[in-house]
Amino acid sequence: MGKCSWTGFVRAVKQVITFVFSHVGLCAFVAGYSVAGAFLFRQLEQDKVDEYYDSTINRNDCFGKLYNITEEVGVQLNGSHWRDLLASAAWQERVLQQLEAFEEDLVESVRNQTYDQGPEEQKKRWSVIGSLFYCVTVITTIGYGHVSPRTNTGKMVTIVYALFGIPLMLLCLTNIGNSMATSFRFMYHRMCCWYCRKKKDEDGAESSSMLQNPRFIDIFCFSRVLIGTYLQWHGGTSHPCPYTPPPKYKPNRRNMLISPPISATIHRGSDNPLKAPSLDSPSPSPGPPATRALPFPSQTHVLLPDMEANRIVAECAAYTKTHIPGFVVSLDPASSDCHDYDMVTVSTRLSPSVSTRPSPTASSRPTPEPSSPRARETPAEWALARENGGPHIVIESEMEQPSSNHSTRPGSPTFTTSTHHASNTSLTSIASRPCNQRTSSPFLGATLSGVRDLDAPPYHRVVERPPRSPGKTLVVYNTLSGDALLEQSKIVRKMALMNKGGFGQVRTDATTVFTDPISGQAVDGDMLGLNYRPIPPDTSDAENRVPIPIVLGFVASYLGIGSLLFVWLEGWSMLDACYFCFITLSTIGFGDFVPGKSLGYETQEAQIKLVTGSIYLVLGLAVLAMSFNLVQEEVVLKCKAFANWIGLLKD
Amino acid sequence: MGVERGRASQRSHGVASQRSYGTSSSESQDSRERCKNCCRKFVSFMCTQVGVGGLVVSYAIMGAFAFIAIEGKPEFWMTNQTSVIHNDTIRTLWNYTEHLNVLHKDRWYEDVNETLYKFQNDIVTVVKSGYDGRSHEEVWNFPASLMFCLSVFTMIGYGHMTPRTDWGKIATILYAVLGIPLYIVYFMNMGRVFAKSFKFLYRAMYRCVNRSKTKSEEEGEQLGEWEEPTIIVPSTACIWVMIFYMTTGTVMFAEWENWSYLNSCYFSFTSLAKIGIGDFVPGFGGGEAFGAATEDSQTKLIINFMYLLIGMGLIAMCYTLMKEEIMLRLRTLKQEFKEKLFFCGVKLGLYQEEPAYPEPRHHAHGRTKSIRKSVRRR
Repeated sequence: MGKCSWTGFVRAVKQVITFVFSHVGLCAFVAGYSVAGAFLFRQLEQDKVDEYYDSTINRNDCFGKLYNITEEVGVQLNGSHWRDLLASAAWQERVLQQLEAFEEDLVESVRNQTYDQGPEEQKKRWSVIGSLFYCVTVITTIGYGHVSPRTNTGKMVTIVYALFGIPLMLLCLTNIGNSMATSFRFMYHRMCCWYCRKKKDEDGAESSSMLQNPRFIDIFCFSRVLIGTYLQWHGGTSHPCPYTPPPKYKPNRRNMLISPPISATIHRGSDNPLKAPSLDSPSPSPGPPATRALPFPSQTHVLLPDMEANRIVAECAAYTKTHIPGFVVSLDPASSDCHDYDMVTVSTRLSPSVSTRPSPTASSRPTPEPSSPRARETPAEWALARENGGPHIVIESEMEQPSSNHSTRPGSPTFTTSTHHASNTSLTSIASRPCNQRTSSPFLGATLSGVRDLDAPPYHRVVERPPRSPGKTLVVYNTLSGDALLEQSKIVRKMALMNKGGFGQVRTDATTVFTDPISGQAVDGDMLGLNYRPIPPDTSDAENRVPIPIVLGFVASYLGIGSLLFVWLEGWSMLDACYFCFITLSTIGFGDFVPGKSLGYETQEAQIKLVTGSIYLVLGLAVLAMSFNLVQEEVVLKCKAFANWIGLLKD
Repeated sequence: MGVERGRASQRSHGVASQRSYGTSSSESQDSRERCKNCCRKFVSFMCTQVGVGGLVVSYAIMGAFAFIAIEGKPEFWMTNQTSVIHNDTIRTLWNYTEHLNVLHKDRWYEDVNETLYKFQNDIVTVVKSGYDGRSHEEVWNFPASLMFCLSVFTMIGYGHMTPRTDWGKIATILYAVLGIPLYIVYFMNMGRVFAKSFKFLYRAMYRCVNRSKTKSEEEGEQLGEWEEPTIIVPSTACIWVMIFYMTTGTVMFAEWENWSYLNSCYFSFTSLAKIGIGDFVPGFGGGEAFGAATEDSQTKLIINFMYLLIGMGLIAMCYTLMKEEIMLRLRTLKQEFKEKLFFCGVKLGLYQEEPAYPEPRHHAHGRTKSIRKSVRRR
């Protein structure tokens, strides 16, 4: 155990290191780099003061010249009437020349910002905040040019600084953009899920009074997935069902898979005496109806072995933000032609009191009883059927009890759990039991330990698996012993965590079949829980994309917000502010509009504006990186489609 | 950036597939098919390096004319305002001189000083709103406008000339929205081409050097050795190429613009790194002499345009090559790290057999299995 904790520790440390190096550490490093650059440039540039343009001296100079001109003209025209028109013309010519020279000086001084800025102000231009802004504009390659280094050292330092700063900033921005994209995706899907639920809620309220609870609908949808109507439903070719979302609305379909079923028990509901009569309502369509069962105490199917598993499931539930209502959804098997899966009960009740870990003696006694391979085929088909919805993982677990003396509850409580992965890798567990079992069992959905007699230890069945298609199906296949189940739940938790953190996704390309170590079934491929590795989310499937208009709208709204901010802050016109935001975020950076420029960079107000501006631009670049990350694949696909349409690509 | 990279690669893919298609172009000569073929040929030509380069240049030229048309109108230009100010000032001065005698120097002084002060303030406000002492013919001539377009769509943004009118600003935004993806396509395309040719050159040189060396030593029984499939261009070579290119630019600009070598180097770097601070712009002087448009600045501007475009391609090349190398290094680093970690784990006895879980068929499967076991134990 100590070694195990050591591995856990190592993994934790690794994760921490990865996290720090990827996000926080990198950002902190960039921030530190810019602050260091700020102090460096301040030190270098502060002492260099341009020649101060003294307006009074220049004006006096100009005046003196004008006086001379006037006198000269007067002397020239001494004899004649000196208000001669010609003389006036000559005088005007010379005065104009003089004025133009004066103006040139003035323009030069204003452009070099030496007009109204004395040495003190010029020093303040390279205050810490001003230098920081300069550094940020350099390493983001915006380069406003509102201040530029005047000293030779400053120029050289700028070159070196940019040489290291630009790649660093790029790295940091990409990183931030990635994580922002992940969270944006997540938020988008959550929002969609909410919308979908709401919509379904409305639909459900019209069609069936039983489906008022969105959570219920989720479970219902999931159970429909479980009982194999997914294919028709997914293809949208099935008979219209009141709960079926319109096929054009893709997020709905996705959200079905997001739905967080906590646990599902499959038992033979046809001969379940404890079933509520409402459960037997016929189904209107190939999709069997969902009926809401009364929460019988005996129907609390708690399927996880121990407290930790419960916690895990609760975590999953919390992750999907669903409260756990105490109801059981049962699906009538009568309408389903799948006799192996007579009844799907989705139980969301988790009470720790009835969930105990199975006794190790019971779980460690393998009994190689051959099972019917026929029972396995249907889930395999489902699994294949769902491939067009994306890769998924099937966790199967089974626990059976000898049917000898348990006429009331010898059932096959099976553990299933499902979680959704952000990249549409849904981990669906299909629990089943072979159909050649005791069909006389009146109630098969027994709880694991609270109901089961411990003196009749469960035996694990050797379950045979039809060969998987070498596709995207990753099957984790376990009989239900305590530890194995625990491990399964760990996997589930891991996936939930991965969803939460968005760090990666389970590799979905492996064709892997796991079985229980006890039952000795073949285990090919890698360990699911250990071998997931962070894959950047942009390699995800088509399901996971956020549509381009939404991303564009997000960027546009960021631009708009920025424009409003600068209109309010700087008093520019709306067009100017918009222009400034665009020029900044596209890193063009003309520098004709710079926040705080009108105030000359030295007042406190101007410094506040500078800080605001730098925060805005760094955030904006991150937003841009995020949107690139989001739309990347979509754009490529669109381009391909366009090329196809043109006929450039042959498909 | 990834978007356009994807698009670029997709386009190149399109090119490849088109090439394969073009040989087997069918005889079903519908008009539609013919049109499609035409389209295909056009697009595939556009995707070649020549096409993209031509597209970029023509886009820049088009933009230059558009901006001259929008911005170059004299009625929007500040010189009108300044000439109005000049005339006003002279009239006022003449009135003073007319009314008062020069002999009343003090009175005359007061009035003229007041007038000059007003003149100064007017000029300053005009300058702050964007006037920089140049007439519009000086600023929005064709090469300068070309330079402006380049600085927009390459995201350099010198800022030595900026649109003043509202329509100019809107046009700049639109121009950038269309131009930046185009430029990035160009960037990637050029990067690939340059990288390929540079790699080829490097390989040729490498082989040449190695062969001569081995020939001098011994006949080649290590012939298989230099058949190694991937000769990765070291990043130092890229860096040397960049340094060489920058040095060329430095010398060129220093000779032409009479900048100091440091300033010239500073300009080349900030331009090629797309910072574009804009205190030095060729054709517009720089530093203290800024704004003094030199003669034959037009050819210089065009040469500068070409210099920058090619430089961007070189940067793209370096980017491609260095990315390759860094990826390789990272992979080896990762591998080493993994191995070290594994050995550490073995030394610490992490991956022992677990007797409580007999796993008869997977004992020999090595590391991952044992890891799984250790996890399962928990």
